[in-house]
Amino acid sequence: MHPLPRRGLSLSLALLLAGACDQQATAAHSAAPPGAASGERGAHCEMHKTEASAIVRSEVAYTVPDLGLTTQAGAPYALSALDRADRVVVLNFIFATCTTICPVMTATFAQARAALGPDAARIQMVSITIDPQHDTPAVLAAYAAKYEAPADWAFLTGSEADVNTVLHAFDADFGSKFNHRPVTLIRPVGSPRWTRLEGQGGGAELAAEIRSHLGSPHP
Amino acid sequence: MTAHRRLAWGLGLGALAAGLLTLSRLSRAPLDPEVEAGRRIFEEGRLPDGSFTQAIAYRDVALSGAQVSCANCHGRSGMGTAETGTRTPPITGPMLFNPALRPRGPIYSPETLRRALRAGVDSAGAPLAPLMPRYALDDAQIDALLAYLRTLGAEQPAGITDATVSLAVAISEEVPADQRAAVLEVLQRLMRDHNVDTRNETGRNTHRLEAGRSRRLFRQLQVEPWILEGPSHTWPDQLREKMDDAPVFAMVGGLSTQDWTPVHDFCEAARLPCLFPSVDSAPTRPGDFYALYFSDGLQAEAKVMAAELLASGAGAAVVQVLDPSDAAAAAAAATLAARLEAAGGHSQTLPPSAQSASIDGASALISWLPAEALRALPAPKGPLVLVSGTRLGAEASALPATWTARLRQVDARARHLPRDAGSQRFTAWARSRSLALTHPALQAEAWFAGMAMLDGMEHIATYPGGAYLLDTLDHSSGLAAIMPAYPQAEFGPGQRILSKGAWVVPHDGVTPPRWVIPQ
Repeated sequence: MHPLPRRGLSLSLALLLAGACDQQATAAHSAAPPGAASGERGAHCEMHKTEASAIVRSEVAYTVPDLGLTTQAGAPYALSALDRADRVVVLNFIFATCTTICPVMTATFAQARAALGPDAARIQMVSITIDPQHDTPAVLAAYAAKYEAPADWAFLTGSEADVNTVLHAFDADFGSKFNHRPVTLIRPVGSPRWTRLEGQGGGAELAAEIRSHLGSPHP
Repeated sequence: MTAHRRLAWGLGLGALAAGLLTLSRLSRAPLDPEVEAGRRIFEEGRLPDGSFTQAIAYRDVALSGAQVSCANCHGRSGMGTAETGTRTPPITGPMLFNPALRPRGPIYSPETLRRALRAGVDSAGAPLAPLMPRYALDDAQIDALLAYLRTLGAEQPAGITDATVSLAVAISEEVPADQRAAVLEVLQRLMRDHNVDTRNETGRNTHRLEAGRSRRLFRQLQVEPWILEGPSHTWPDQLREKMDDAPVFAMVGGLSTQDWTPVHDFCEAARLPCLFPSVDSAPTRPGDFYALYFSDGLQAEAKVMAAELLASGAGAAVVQVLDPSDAAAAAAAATLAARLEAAGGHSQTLPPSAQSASIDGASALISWLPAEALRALPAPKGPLVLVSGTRLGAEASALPATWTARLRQVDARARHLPRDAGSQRFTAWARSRSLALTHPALQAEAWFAGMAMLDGMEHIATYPGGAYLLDTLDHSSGLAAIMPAYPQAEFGPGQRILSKGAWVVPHDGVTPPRWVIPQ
């Protein structure tokens, strides 16, 4: 059940970005970032470093909760379908009003999809909102349209309780949407284990990762 | 302008005084064309020709338009945000170009700013985070953006001095004097408690004054009522006049039974923060920024009612009962009717004097009436009765049993639940100050509006600004926990109505209440 990190940080990149981080801290010296107490600043910076420098990869077996969510088209979506999917599932957590990382996460999905070409038909993309109060199916449909997402890329919402259950099941409950971090989950066909990518990379990088799961169900 | 800007950067913001108040009023006039072009790139991600800004993040992820507007990550104020574990630094003119605010790195020049935007290299030559998009902007576009960045944080906002913050609470004249007084007392008491200066905060304003550095100033907050007279379409002139006579930094709370749209529009046009008025619905439009509301109130109830009617197959011949002089209820009834008609249903509106003959044939009865007027109606025989909780103003269980059996209360507030944490906290606060709870619901709302104002001011004390106040509140997730009465409130960027649905509370003694967010 525990994540097994395979690839750690890229040290040189981390050091490089440590410098950049220092500089940003300087700029913000007396401007408390909204909502951040002064003690948190170091932690934010640390996170910035790791996030920017590398993707942390692990393999985890998740128990997908058996509950119903709703797609951007307003159609019911049984989450248990993920366990039976005959396509590689590529899943992340977003919310429509998220400002920093979500636009990039969603654009990366779109980019990876484009990079996969015809192989895109062999994957099922799923983006689950972590802000179901705001992200109704209509809001998610508008959000999906902004990224020209095809209809089979499911943007899911549901009751607050159900979404919380899902977040908990995938170890993606960050406490608050403002602590939302980029996590991508990939489930090869027929595998009980998911590949968990923590961090944000480029579209080609994600496409390569997805491609590595297309051929072999148990890598 | 240039001379003023240099002055502003040279002295630091904190040293700017009354002289610039005149300037800040000018800033509400249309921006000059280059600054406006920069504003569109900054706020909307649009180029002067109307096309979207294009950019690349993380080496190959193509983004455009609003996704890569500067404001999307750095906030409307440009003061930066800390979200999703990623901190975006402030990028206002002073933060980029004032050496005193960049003690550990070189200031930006137009050349290094171009390099930062296009190649992602900072003023010291180090790479920026890969999340920072690399922009396809030409020299003229970057010059426009630069001109806009220089305006951000360059002026002390209206209604603020180094020692004081002036606030207004807008109240329309038909609001009874006792309600006015109760709400004003809460707000003024909150500010008075803040202003007592128990720890010599005012004295500390003069300490540790470094040349060119901005200071975290302790300011006294003052709130005055702005009484709006006559019908609401005459309010814009009154508001402008009041703002010219005695400028305020923000509006806090507010009371009216009339259409709030003129006040809302004034707040947006004047870029004036307007926090949490006690009004029946939120006149906010997509893309609006400066006004925050508890709930869409009657409008949210109307949308949830429409969904209930359609889901129950009871939309064919709906009767809505309301007082014709109640404009907000009439607007809500119209929303409901439009939604029904879009789905093939039909609704007619009747006054409270409606006779049972006209009600009995209805597929459903909708009430937009207060409790006493509802009690006076002939008891309905139809299968479904939906009652607006906002207009009922109480729990429907107080109604006669002939009513309650087939009744569902549709309510933007959580009246059926035990008192929420926010209301409890307000009550404790009021009791400990011996304030009379004459209008507890309104007083609790005013209290929350004041708490949000104080919380926001605390964060922006060094760099006060209206947009920065809103950016800050967008990330004050903790405040939502003390919002009274309105369920499941959430702050967040782009979210201007904090509680987004309505409770559907059946009174058949069997069906449990449901929280419904309208589509």
